[in-house]
Amino acid sequence: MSTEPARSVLSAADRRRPTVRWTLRVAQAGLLLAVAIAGAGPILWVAKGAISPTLELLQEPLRLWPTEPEWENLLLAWRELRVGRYLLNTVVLVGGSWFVQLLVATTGAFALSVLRPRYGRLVYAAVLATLFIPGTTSLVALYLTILDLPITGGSIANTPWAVWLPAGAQAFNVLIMKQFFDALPRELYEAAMVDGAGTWRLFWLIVMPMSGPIVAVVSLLAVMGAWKEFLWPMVAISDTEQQPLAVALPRLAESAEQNQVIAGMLIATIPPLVIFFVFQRHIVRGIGFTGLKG
Amino acid sequence: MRARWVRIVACGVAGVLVPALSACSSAEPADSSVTITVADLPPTTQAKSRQQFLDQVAAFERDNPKIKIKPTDSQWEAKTFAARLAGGQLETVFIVPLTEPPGLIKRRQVADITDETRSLPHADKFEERALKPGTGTDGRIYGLPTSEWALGLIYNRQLFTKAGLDPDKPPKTWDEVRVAAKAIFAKTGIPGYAQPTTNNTGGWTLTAMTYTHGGRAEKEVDGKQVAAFNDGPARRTLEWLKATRWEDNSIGRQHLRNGADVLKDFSAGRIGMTIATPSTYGDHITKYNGDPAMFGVTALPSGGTSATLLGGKMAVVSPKASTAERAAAVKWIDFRYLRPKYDAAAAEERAKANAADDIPVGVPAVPFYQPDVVDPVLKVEHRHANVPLNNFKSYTTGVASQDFVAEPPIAGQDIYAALDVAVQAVLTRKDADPAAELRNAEEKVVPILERAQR
Amino acid sequence: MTEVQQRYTPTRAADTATPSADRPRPARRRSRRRLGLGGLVTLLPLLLVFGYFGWWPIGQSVVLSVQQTNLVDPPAWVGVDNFRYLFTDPLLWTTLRNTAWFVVLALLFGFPVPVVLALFGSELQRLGGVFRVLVYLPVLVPPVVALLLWKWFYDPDFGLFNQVLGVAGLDPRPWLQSTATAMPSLVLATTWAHAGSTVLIYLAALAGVPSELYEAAEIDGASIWRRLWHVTMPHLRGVLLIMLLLQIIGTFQIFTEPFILTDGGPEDSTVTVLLLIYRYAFLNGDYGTAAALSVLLAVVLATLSAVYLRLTRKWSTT
Repeated sequence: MSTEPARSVLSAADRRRPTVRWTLRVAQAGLLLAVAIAGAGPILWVAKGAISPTLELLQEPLRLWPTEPEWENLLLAWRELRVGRYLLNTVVLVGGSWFVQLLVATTGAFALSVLRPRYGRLVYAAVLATLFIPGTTSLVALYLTILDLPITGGSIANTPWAVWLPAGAQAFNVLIMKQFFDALPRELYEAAMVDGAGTWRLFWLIVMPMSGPIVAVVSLLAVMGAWKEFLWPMVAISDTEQQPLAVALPRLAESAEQNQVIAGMLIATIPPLVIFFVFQRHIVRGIGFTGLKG
Repeated sequence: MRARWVRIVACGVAGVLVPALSACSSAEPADSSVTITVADLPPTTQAKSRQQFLDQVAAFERDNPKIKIKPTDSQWEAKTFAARLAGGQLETVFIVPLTEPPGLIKRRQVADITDETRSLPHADKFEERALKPGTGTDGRIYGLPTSEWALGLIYNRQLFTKAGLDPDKPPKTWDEVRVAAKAIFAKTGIPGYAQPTTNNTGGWTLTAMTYTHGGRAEKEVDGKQVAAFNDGPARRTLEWLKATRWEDNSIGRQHLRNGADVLKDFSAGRIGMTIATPSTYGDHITKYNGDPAMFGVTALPSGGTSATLLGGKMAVVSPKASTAERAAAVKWIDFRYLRPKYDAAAAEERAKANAADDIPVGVPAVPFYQPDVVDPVLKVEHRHANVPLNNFKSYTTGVASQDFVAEPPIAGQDIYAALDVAVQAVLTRKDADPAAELRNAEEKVVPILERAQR
Repeated sequence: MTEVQQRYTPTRAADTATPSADRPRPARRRSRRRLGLGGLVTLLPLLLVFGYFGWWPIGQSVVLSVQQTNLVDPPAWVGVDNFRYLFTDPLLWTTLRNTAWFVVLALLFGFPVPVVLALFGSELQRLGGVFRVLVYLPVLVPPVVALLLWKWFYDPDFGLFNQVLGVAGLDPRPWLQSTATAMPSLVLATTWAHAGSTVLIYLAALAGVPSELYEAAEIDGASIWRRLWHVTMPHLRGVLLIMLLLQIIGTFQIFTEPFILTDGGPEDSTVTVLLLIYRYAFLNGDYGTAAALSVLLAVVLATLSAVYLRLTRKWSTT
């Protein structure tokens, strides 16, 4: 899908008119500048703040570059604030959430769309129903659930499972995955089944190889989403040793040296930026795909 | 005592006759050994305190071979408490701030340790006001003090000097605080005073200040606690804050912060005075790398009444502990926290170790026992003091004559939360009316108090 | 999923679910059948995860809302007591007022900004790609990092904003430190963080305006402004309404912003529904009341989502 319009309000003829051209140019230049300051400015400020002395940050926040860059600050944050440890926790939580979301969405959508069991519609309706009740409203109940699991008993609070497993209950993933599978030619499955392919071969050899684009979209949503999580990991993981960076930062900000906290903030921001620039094309497509068409 | 002797003798006899009789291998009750978990192990960043704690655990286990101690470095947090309690991860012994026991007792989330406590040494010589925060409205004991301080006023001695004030003559009344704050701000541009306002610390400090004006946060009417702060003393306190903020303009513009934020700024030299306990000296030195010479502390200034609020920590026992675990837990509390407060030899040992590890020794605290027990211990402690004792003098003399008023016994945290708002109002809104703010706060806490006592 | 995505989830549901649900599928009845063992195994992860962490907590919320528990003793049934208490708490009404105020503010300045940006962005030809990246950058910053940064910027004494005002010769503002400006400051930070994805959605919608319409209008002699007003805006109307609804749904679930920036202050002026739930449950240990408020919130949000579904369904069929 291309987000570049075939044409917009302005036509080629309009653009040739000098008043239009110049108004447009000036307005666009101003706007681009504003967007650059608002969009990139804060990120660059964090980068600058991470290597500035705290006192200078307090006294001259507008300074473009520190008088004496303190590169060792990043190292200090990594070692003394143990940002590395929290970053690792984040990576573990994000990785597990990604895997669980993908597992639930692919297998569930496969069963509902391809195998179509007798009660499939009921299950699917129940999955879709959770879309109407955002997860935040069951925060308290979910918390008590992970403290004492129903039927099996036992607690998964303070373990990565408390973040991984609830992440999987994401109806939207199941929904777009199922719709993707629905759109695949059914004759393929039927031919495979006639050939005697079992459920697993159908899943692994027929459906999954065709699902690259949708798996990419769900993966990106899962990873970018999990990286931003705050409230649930904060509630579910109280052990400070296991907290992800997003949860640890506000706590550290209360006691640690400010420029080291900012260095930690920079470190937390880099991975999503990298992912974005690597997968930019997919992300823009994903937003078009999941977004709205008026 | 007599029963124990009899048992030891009996065991000795039995031991001769039946050498394998394991029941007599120690003077402890003859049941199998018990393992308890205890919180409060200092984090790895405080290596020396941590090692001391571990050494004490080893010593305790040597003395009590039937008890195994598993220490954890978890700290009290209201949010995580529920998780640990419900998840069965709560330590047998955990440490809570003095603001917590009333709520925990009310919700029956801590164990009754009255019987275990009564058998401790000097149990009849406890200082009542030290024990009170852990005593329920039913008169039973649910917590034992581990460290208690009366709230005071901490101040930056260097800023005092710069502002032309005598750091050895800190303010004694709120009026004097106001004058000093003005002078500090005028001479240095640094806010002369800071009031925490969020996370219930605003209500907590306001309550303490209200006590110094002769007021209370709660009072008993017909056997029930009702709100008592909608009254002259609290109003005078709010008016005082309002005046320093808007008339004198001497306390800065940043007024959305909690006690920890304020302390951090204090240690960084960005605040002249604030309400805190002298124990913050420890954090000032170890956590925020503050300058020892800068730290001054005095008794809570008076607003006409010489009173203060008790702060500090208490050890409580998990409600899920078995009888044997509870007994072991109280034994550990006694060993780790109480013994150095009544046993001069133990106190000397601790003080020496602390001094050797540069952990503050000699910071004045509220005694847990009556003077005849405490005095010899204090003498020993002062011999090994490594803090500028002189800088604590005005605190010690001031506190001696102060009335210690306890926290509001019912729904204290809710009262603090409601009062946070009043403090924020007068500090952030020029036209805020203290009387109206107190009325609003009262409206908020009335249903809460009713519900809590139904 | 991100907070935003969670808040906005029903969108996609409705959007994409509707057409397929309506599409007739003749082969369906024939192919419904018993699941073999392999089939059951493939459905198992979904059933387990949704069962434990989707459906169960929803039901449990309702149960908890009529109970009191201290997590030690068995829970006590208290009937509607939690709800009764909830309605006597003045904070509930404050919270609802705050939520409404947030929505109004978001309408005032959070709403036009992405529209204007998208309209301008769609006119950019060569720099369109750069524009999209720049606009999207704030969305990539983890919310906690962004908020800590804004807190620093908003500091009345040392913050960047007041320094900028100082350079411009203006008086410093209290930002988060005043009941009058705390909420607008919060909305500003939120707008900054979320505008990027909204802009991209509008850009996609703008790209969907058929060129012929513009050409026809141009031939009729319509000026640029008239074309914008009579061709572009009507086309955006649907998306705009949807975004508004999503904004309201999202506002009910705001948590991190006030939690990090203001802790609900000053004077409770930034307490949100979710912050109140959090306080009841995790600071006061009152799980019953927290659950009661959660149930009310769920009812409101489910209603809004249903309205939303109706709207989108209507559009997708016309």
